[in-house]
Amino acid sequence: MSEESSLAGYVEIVSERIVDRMRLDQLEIAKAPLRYGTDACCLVLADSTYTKDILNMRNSDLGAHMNRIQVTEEKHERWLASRLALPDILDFVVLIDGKFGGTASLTEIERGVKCEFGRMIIPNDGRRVYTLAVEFLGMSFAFEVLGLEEIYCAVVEGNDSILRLHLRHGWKLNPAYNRKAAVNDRMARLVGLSISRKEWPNSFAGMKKLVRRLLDKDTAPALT
Amino acid sequence: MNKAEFLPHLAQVIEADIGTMSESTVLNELPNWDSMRLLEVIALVDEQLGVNLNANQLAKCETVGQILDILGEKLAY
Repeated sequence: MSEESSLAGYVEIVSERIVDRMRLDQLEIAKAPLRYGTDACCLVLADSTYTKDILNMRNSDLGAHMNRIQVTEEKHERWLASRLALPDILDFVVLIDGKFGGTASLTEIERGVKCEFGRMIIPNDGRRVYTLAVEFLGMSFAFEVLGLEEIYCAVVEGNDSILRLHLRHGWKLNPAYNRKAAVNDRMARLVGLSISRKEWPNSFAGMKKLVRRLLDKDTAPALT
Repeated sequence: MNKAEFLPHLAQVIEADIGTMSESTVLNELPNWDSMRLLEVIALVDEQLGVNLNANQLAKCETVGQILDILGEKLAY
């Protein structure tokens, strides 16, 4: 069996709970109860159900590489509503064993072409071991469901563990996506990375064993 | 598997030098210590000892010795 066909088979298993294999232009984002993944770890379209969880995470100390900000419930709801109206953004929450574990977003989606991928996993407890599963689900969704050709992201310079995670799983440094942004009152350099659809099967092959462990309820690391 | 047999496997997955690693080795001071290494430790312990480590318990470990402590009697002496 070729790597591509074995990959396709596995993604089919992982995505068994997708409501429908829809393309972005068919999604009614505000209504879709889209769930991608397994009971052990999945992405679910963000809505007000998870506002308090997101606020608790966002208003906590997420480390030196994330903006330390305070967001009110009202401000968050306004922000979420404005995002739901946009056709080029998909905001997900991460559920680990049914409980909130972080967020993941596909933004700047150019249909059939590319998007930016970002995610935030609660960093201070055992949930962070699920980072690889979220990385996999985001990439799989972008390539297998949306049919995109490239995913890119930008990592704050100095955030070595996240940079290492990407490079280990097939992402390449891509200066086209380098940029600067204000992080905690200083201008920080963001290091651009990307991965193409062509590189995705190899990337998946490298992470498959551990991803399977995380997504299978019988082997997923316990949190309680 | 006893502790002496387990330590080289642990050193390999946490990318520590087995020659200098000890129970007092601080995990956060290892150059590649991150969520992937945590996950690799969980996989190692499951595969070698048949134990599904609790991720929250492991995430609280600050030293190699504390990882060995939570394995407790699963490691023969």
